[in-house]
Amino acid sequence: MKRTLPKEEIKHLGNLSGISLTDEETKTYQKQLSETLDYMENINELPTANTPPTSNVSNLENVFFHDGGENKRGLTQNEALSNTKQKKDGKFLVKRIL
Amino acid sequence: MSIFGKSIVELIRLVQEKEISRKELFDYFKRRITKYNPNLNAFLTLAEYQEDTNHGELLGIPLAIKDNFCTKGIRTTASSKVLDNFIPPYESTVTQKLLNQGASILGKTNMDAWAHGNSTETSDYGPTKNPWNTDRSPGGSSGGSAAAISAYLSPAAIGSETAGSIRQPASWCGTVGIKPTYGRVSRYGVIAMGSSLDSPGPLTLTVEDAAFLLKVLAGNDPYDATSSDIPVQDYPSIMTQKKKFTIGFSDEYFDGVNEEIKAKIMEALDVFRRLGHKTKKIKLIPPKYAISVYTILQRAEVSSNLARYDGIRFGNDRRSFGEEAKRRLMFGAYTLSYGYYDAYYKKAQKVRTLIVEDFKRVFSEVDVIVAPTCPITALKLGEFKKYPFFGEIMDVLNEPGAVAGLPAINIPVGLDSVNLPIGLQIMGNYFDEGSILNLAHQFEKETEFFGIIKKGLEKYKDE
Amino acid sequence: MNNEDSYIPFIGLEIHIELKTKSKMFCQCSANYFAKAPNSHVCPVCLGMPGALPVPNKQAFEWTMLVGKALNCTINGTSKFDRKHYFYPDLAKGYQISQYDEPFAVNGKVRMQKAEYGIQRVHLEEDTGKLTHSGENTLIDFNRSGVPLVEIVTEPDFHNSDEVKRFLEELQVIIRYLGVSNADMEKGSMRLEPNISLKVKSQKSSFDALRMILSKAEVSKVKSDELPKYKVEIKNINSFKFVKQAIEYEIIRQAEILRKGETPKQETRGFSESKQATYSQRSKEYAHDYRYFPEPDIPPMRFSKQEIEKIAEKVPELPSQKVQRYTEQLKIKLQDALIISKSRATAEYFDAVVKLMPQNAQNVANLIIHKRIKTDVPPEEFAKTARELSTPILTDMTILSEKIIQVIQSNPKVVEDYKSGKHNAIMYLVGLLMREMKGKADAKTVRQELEKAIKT
Repeated sequence: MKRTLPKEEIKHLGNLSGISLTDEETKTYQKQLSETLDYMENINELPTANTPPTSNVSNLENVFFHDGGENKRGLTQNEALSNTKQKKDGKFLVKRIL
Repeated sequence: MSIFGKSIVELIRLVQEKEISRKELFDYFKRRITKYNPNLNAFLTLAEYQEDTNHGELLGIPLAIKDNFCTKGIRTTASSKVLDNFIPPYESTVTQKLLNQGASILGKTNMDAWAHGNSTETSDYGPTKNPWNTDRSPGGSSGGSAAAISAYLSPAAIGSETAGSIRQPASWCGTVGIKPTYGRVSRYGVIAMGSSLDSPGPLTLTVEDAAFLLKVLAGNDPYDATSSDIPVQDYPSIMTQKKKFTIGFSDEYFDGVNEEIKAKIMEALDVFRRLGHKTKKIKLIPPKYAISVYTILQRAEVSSNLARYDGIRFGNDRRSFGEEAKRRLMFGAYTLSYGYYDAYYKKAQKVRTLIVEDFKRVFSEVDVIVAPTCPITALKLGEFKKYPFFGEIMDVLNEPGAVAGLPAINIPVGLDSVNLPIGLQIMGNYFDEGSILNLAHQFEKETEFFGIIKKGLEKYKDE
Repeated sequence: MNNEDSYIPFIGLEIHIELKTKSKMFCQCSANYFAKAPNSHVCPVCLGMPGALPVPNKQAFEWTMLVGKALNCTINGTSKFDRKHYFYPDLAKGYQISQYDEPFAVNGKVRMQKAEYGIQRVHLEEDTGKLTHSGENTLIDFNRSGVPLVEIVTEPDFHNSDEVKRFLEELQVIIRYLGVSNADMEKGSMRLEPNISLKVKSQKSSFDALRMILSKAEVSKVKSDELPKYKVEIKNINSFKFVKQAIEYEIIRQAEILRKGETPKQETRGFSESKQATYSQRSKEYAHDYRYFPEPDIPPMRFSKQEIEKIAEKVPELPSQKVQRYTEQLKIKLQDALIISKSRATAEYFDAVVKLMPQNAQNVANLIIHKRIKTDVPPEEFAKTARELSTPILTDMTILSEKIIQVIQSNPKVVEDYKSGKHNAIMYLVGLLMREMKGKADAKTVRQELEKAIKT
């Protein structure tokens, strides 16, 4: 079933993904995403009415750490800030959020 | 005494017997990288030699590390401009384990940006070239790692696989590559792509090296809640045990596969039979469904895992994302979004259950499954653009196993008519890396991989 | 404008409690971040660095279940974490690890004196970093990122601001009883967001929208109808007093809109302390699509009945239960029961002392409340001192009579003042006498005798 995602949907997806798109890009992605989605429809050929979903292929459960254990991964303030030039008074800096 | 073409195990012996020093070994590969890397573009960042005080099993063996492993103090980019200037303040568990055993890090290898692809052509730093034919892609996403060892710029490399990213470049570059069971090797410090799928693993020139490195890497990690607590097998010793297997093969995994590749796989099955193993035809859910399951689950997880790149704490902002990344981000957002979650994401998780159960059933009849690794051999650079979701289509034969979390190994079993390597994969049951290494090793001992690896290295001999 | 129409407020609460675990929710960084140097309590995990992975803190989920139990919830035997996606500079990973459709606890209730309030769910999540604004810039400190937060969501069972305030005060005491958090509004370890909507109540009898108390009968009649079709959330409220103001302001604001025949906009509003008013937030108001999906980095949790029971055993007798026992069994005044039960330490001390002198509960309560005896001594000592105090002091009447005559003669002016109507003047004389008697006198007796003597 061929279907094309509307342009507004692509723009909305761009918003959700934190990326801004030119009109050109919107057109291109519209075509590509729609094509890919079409292929994905084949999963509906397999019956799954009584099948539970698998989020986790390992059979692990109840994995946790004990509160108050030694912290071997702590970073100093310098290390924490080492990968940005936008910083002030030991904090990360961005343009003001309204 | 020649170093060229020696395996890790052999090099360790040389260092142990003091025939060569740790530094000399490092410099040797450094020289080769200087000579060949400008053309091959296998390495993005080269590391400095570090003295080792650990004296572990790896005795200074230099290794190439895929650029999605956080290496403390060494630039790590995942081949994306977003992380162009990122220097991790911490070490991934995998590289920490290697360093603890005294390994040296030669440098970081090129990959598809964010591991999104199967040809290393979505890298923001230019593609890597296939050492067998530099007009061709080495495969991906661990293309840089595969190319590096295929041209002996490093004796072995570390890569990662979400679906196909170790096996497929190993196949296209004619090397050994093993994707461990999901959870066998810690993901802590690996720049996440598909959280429920990512599996770090080694690419090597011999099966013995793969067994050896896997033993170093495997094990439970308290920093990775999905890492398994099942004890690590002694792979090198299991590898040499006299075992006979029932080998399954499925028609569904030959559908759409290039005739020359089919032929080589069938010949390999003959070799297995000659060695005394049983082969059995099995039925498996056609891999085409796994393409959809994999595409939906992986891209959903990708869209989530890439949400942290806002340029505030590290890296550049989201305007630096490349085309493929943007495509996957939006697709992932779509399948998770309100109103579509059930139809796509949840449905894909249910089909995933069907695939897991399908393999469970089959592994009660056979010990391992053999199939081609990839339907085609190395593509010419630039051709990937013809396919709408290239990465996922190319990995059709790897996705079912990956989605189920099963281990698999690629071994070279032939060359096609234009002298490009053909790979065969052996898939195993959960945490049964021992069996697939064992069978692969038997094949290697019997055939020496038909001289393929040696042939590939010819062009890159030391003068 | 139709004066016959009136409105019933439906108020629900979303409360966040910061747990006082030693480590953060998903890493070993110290959770004790308050007033520390910025970005000094961080690691790759809580900074959201590439490749970092979360591993959950066991104490945090045990404490969450404890809170659930204390609120009479059903504890779910299986649970998981989910990712909740949105972009904001204080959210390091671009998603918050929280719980969506399998929270730890559901369907609880809190009984307070005559009222009962439903608890929809209790779940566990991680906190974000902290933003401060500085001129044209916003600065971010991630010390708080990853601290465990328990979220409690109530049913919209509140109908006026007083109820809400009383509930919050009770909840605060319950949380402090459990020892899982300081629940301090000022320090941010307890945060709240009320949501308010009004339902039109069309009745022949008039109802004053400003009268905050509803009768039970009226409430149950309205509840059987549908709930209002919009909801306004208020953020940024820093004290119980301000919650009350915000709610009262909202009720009036919404009633005015409804009277015009319009429906209040479904939105999130801020609260201005200076104006004592809510205001619309300028941010885009499209419904957030959080794209929840199960957290793939953390395997699910499963608890056996025994494990859940073990945790339930750790819930102490809660304040409302103490109040009930104190008033019904120990027969102390409700006011006093409320005061004593406010602090678990005080209540348990009271319990220990009362055990030693069960007939004197009210007396012990008085002594504690009026701080007549210090409570930093062992209960046995307190009891001993209490007994001594209650034993009437034998007054030597002969000496007292002598002293009274002396005091009256030495203070003629004070006696005059007393006689002319300044009755308080006598206290000065009583004080003198008590000193003269060197404590060997009962104050009541002294006053009585003094008054008698002056009159004659």
